[in-house]
Amino acid sequence: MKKKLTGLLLVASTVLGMGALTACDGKKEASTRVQKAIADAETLSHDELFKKAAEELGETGQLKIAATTSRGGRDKVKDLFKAELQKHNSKITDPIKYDTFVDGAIYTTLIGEILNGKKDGYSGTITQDGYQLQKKAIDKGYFENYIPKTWREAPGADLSAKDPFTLQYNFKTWMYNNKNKDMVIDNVWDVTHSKYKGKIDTMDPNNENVNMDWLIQLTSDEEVAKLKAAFEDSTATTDVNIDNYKQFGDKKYAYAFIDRFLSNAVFYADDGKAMAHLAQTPGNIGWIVYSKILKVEETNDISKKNIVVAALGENNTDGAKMDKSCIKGFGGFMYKHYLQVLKDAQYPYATCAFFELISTNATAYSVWGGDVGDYPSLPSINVNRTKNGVDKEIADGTKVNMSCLNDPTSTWWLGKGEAVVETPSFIGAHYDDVIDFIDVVIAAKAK
Amino acid sequence: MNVVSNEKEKIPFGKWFKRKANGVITFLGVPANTILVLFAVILIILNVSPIISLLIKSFTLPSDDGVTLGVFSFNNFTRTFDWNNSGVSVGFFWKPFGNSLVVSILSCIFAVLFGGIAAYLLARTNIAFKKFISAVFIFPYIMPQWTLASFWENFFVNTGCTAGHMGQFQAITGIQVPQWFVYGPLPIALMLGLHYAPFAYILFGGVLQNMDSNLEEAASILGIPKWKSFFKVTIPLLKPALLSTVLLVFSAAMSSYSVAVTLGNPVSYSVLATSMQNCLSNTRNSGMGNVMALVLIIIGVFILTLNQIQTGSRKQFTTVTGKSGQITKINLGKVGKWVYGSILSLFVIFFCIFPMFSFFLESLLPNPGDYSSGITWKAWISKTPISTNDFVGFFFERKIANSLLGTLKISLLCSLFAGTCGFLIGYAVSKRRKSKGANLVNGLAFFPYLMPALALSQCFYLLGLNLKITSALLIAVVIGSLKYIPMASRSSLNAMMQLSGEIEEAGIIQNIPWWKRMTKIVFPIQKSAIISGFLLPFISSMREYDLFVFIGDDQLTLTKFMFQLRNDGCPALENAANFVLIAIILLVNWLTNILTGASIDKGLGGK
Repeated sequence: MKKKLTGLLLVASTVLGMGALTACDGKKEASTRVQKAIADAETLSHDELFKKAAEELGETGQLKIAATTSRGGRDKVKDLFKAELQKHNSKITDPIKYDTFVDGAIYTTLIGEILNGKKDGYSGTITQDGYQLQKKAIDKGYFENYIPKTWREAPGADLSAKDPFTLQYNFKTWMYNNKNKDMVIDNVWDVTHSKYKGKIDTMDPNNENVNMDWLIQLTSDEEVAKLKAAFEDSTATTDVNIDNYKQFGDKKYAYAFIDRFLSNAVFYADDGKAMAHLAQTPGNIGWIVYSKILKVEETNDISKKNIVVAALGENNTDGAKMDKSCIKGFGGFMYKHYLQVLKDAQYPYATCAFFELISTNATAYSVWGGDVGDYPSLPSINVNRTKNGVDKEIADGTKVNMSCLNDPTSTWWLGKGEAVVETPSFIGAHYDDVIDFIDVVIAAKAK
Repeated sequence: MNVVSNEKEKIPFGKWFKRKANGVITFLGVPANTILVLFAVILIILNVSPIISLLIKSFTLPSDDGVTLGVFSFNNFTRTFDWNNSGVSVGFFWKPFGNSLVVSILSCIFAVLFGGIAAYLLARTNIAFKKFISAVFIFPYIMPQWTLASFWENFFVNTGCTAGHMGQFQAITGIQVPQWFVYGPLPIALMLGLHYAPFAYILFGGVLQNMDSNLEEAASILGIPKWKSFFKVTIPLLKPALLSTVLLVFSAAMSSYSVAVTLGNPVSYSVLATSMQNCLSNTRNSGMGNVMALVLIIIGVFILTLNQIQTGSRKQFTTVTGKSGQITKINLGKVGKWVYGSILSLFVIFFCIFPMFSFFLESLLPNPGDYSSGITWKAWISKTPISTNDFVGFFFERKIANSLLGTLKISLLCSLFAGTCGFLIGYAVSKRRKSKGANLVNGLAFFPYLMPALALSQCFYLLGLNLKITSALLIAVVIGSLKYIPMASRSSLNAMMQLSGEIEEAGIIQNIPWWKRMTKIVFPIQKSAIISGFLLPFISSMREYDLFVFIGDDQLTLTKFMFQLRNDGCPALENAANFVLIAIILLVNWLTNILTGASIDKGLGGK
């Protein structure tokens, strides 16, 4: 009996011990060192900040950045960062390590490091997904916000992007393959029509967090109003019975839209595949990251000239001159890449310096600038793409206008384009209200 | 009586200790016992952690940060199992669960049929094209599952399918095959069956090749017809291999994700693994995902227990005794051997060569599946960026070189550790097969195979942090070795079970030390199966993705970098990387064959 009891206790203690280990419930050390450094950094000019960063790193220190975008790890950015530091310490040779993660893993990685008190881990992150950022990191105090002085004081800086500090907006938008010249999508409710069942290419919201964020954001008052107005304008083309959703009160338009969109959609594991499928399937509609359109290569059968970005229509020859949007409701979803300093960052000044560089320097930002659908929070460093589609050569050598590539500015998308904008605080607060409904709709799709 | 009793009680501690110590020394003096004790300890430590982690997450609400401990609750279970919760459990669990059972059972049938028939024809008949068939039959296992699924989709998709477009078959013949043939349970099971057919092929082939022909000859001498001899003698001899195959295939098919995503998603057909993966990726539903992982493990344990019962009760068939004679081969006839050979060759060409050719071709296409403007080599040789992501051609992309090097390092180390551990476990379990210790270690060794790779990855990442292990390579090797020990130990166990005890006993009588018996007697006899136990982990590590999701950055392995390429929309470069990955695996298989005389396909007439 005693033997059994001892055995039982041993197993229990092992279980508890291992459980504690794997649960990773490490102690949180309140630290103001990083906050102080950030507060100081926010008062410094570019040169002063890099001087501090160079002192902090010394000759051998290496800043570690974790990101969901691989762009910031390119040599162009790294070399520029090194050059700026070398102005203050010429012996600095390898000041940054830039690692890329999928957005499902990055928060676990960073929070795991913080909770375990890792001293030489990542100091900063470039990340996306407003929900995870808000709930996992900001609400818990794991990330610190830093707003560069040079950015804040620059003319035209989008001050709505300062908290959490945003490097850039990324864009998901409606597009369709009109190779057969037999369709027009001019109202967001068009995509909910039963004739498009199985014809909407997109990513599974359970697999792509920003797609889920968009669905949650649709239930905000502002988006509901847009959906209501578009619905009332689309009675001839929609077959949605809005009364079926009256239990949701004023938000019935959002819930009806979510329900019918998800029911019609075909889910892909990644946007690249969704884009490839849309490009080769006339008559299909895509809800896809805008920049993916650039991955479509010109061949005899497939061309970007057949892809219509619904908001821009088929006759857009200059994004700068776009008037009103060609789709009623909303033209797309602006999600963001956020720059955040980790609460126990080993090199807070260097992190701030790196963030300052990529958010204010046109050369550093240019690694993102070539893509349509990526817009910096500092418009002055934006790359003009308003005529990117003019005189583009197709497979047979002729030159055509590709309306879908004449990308207007973020100002247009946020104004006349009526883009839905990701707001982490809203998504964090309302996620649980909407997710049950979304789960039920997705569950009902299962065969 | 009292005196005796008092004497018993008064045994001095020193004497008692010495007696016990002698007992322990004697026990551990048997190498198989030492191995079992050692691996029992190691495997308990490595298995307990993820299981506890999974249990904790199943019984707690997901915490806000996704890492710390949530509040105790049964909510995850009610959400998963309760029929009445607005259809969530039906759509997320019950339907996918039913689908998984259907797909897994069908996969086992296909795998056993394809692998068994091929193994039998190659090992026991004079079929033509043996060398060719034997060499390429393992390709589907070498290839990542999704490549087979993509090949099937690209080939048969047509304008009659939901979200369909013209595929290769329709373009060539104009025929639209029905949607159920392109998407859904049948093609998923078919692809999984093909992917795992090499399991059956290797396991059956090993037995058929090494089997003592005396038993069949005895049946023949007694005048028993060939067909009866096949069912009454040959098939029972294959029973251990059949059980191992079914166990491996069923468990693997139940937790297979990529095939179901490719061939299920377009028609909203989900299986438990896809539903679990979706739930695990989503913070709020991660609790349901963990419950689903537990269900998968329980099913696996149930199958494992069935197998244990069978193993314990079955008669032992000694097929490698050292006294064996020539294996009798069935003569298919002059025409028959060419007809059967041609049919089987066409089959393997279609399923084993075509997919490789198709994604090599895809690496030359400007857009996936788009042949309209010919081919381009830029994904291979371009020194200038081939996309907006600044990636250059395969041969000049530094990140590809780094990640490929990482893959090779991890795969070689995993192969070495998993293969060695698996070999020792297989040996020890076969030697002590009736003991509780052997059953325990056998079960523990198989357990990681049942654990969802994604859950293992997250658990070991956090464990590594807790233990202050900073090397991603070290964590990857530990987790990879653990995950692939089952393959090596099964392969080794099957080989050892065929090995007569008399052979090693002869060595013991001669006072030959254990290590020498292993290296000079046991290993040489069952070399092919044992080296397979090293190759299987190598192959699996080379093409693993889920297991390393949380470990290191995107250049830790080539598959992680391929995921980045897919995300960034560089399918041609991704296909090039995939093609090279498979080519390396084939090269290693071939080199192993040249250097050691063994390979995965060894022993099935491919000599």
